[in-house]
Amino acid sequence: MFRKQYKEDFDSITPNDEFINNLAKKLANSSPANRPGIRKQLVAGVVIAAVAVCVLMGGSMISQYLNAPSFTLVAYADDNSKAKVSIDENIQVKLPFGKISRGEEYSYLDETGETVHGCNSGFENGNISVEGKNISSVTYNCEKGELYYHDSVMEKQMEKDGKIKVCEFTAPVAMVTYKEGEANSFERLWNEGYFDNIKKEYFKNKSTNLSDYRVQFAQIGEQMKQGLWDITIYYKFENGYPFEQHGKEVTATYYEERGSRSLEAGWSPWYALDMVSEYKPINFADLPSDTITVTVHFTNGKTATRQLNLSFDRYGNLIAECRNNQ
Amino acid sequence: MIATEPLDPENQIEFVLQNYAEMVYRLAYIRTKNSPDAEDLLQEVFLRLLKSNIRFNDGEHCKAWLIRTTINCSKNLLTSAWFRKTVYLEDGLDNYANAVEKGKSNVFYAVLELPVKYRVVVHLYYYEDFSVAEISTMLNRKESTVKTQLYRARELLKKKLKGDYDYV
Repeated sequence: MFRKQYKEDFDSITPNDEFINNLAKKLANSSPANRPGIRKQLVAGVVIAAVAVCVLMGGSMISQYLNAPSFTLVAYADDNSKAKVSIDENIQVKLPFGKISRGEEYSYLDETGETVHGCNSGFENGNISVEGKNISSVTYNCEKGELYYHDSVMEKQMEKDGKIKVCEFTAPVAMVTYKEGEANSFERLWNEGYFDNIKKEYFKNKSTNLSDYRVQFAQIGEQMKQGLWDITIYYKFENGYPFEQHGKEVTATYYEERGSRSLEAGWSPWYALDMVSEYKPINFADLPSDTITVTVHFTNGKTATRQLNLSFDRYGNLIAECRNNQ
Repeated sequence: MIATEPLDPENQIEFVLQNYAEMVYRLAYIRTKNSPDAEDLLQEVFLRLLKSNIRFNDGEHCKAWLIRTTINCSKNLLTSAWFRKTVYLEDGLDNYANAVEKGKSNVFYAVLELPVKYRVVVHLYYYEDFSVAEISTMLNRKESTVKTQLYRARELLKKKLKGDYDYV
């Protein structure tokens, strides 16, 4: 009788659903790399997410969270320090890159003869990336800045397959002259048949019209002493190399051999650099923030999205805060 | 739900959370007598699990670890300066009880009024249905100590309940 009553009384002593949901979510999102910070995340997560959970969701969502694909945002410095920072949800972190700075003042006369004043500005480059299991690709989308992505694996494969460079050879400077302009001189000689041996060797079943290619002239080291051009003919990609992406949106592909580093994307705040370059007092903390939407595509077809808010503090350090969009 | 086979290491924490969070919470509640501290303890236990890299042989191994860890964590909380200096605004057990705990029987309040060392033994014995031998292993106490604590707890409960529950 006592046991039965005791069990009845304690059956309803259960943790709050919202608390469990948040705990499950945080545990599922946690990776060994960011474990030390999880307690803070949990406390913040419970407080901030509770209202949203109450309003939008009902009942237990433990399994949904536990089965949901997860990932962690990280940032890398673009230098030799190999510095890396995990960007946990709802916590502001200083990134190991992105410091914006103002240099010396300068002035020049513009075309109307008016003196224009300005300031040199600087920005330390770096990358954001994603860590997690079973990721196939990541799409980054920003509002104000510019994103860039370099697919080095694709580039290497294209190089290996001979899809970037057609050929490289040398030619005497006395023949391809500076006087005429090396490009014009080379094109004339090319069309007159002086380089038919090159055409025969490298341009079989290919267009021999030079306008279909990009030609690069260089004189380096010994070649300069010997009076030779190093001429490289590349395939022309009207829309840029397929392994390079620039703009408001880029998509990074996951490669096993490079791990999370293959998902790195760079970000440049040109809008902020323009403001820092203006000849007037500035507080870096007043610079507009940018938001990068990070959408992770998993191998099972699921996606997960987070928003990364990037702003500067008064010292010009880049501060990130991640918000979960799920 | 008790797993009788080795837990899948990949999904261990998910499995444990789904199946044993309530057990940990109730034990934490028995120790702290209030929901916020019980939730803190629950969180602390799972953080320790996450950090520990422990691999459980089966469900019983897991339960024993969780119970020991919950009690260890609660000892830290109960002995903390903050907890000892915290004074509830109103006297009596009602101040511990939030809306969920309203309408409980006298048994509930009688158990919560027991000294903490008796509450845990009573809870593990009467709610979790562990044997005296199992409790002694989990709590690292002699079986005779557990038996004595159960006996004394029953005597106290009988007095508090004034014979309402003869089978204590």
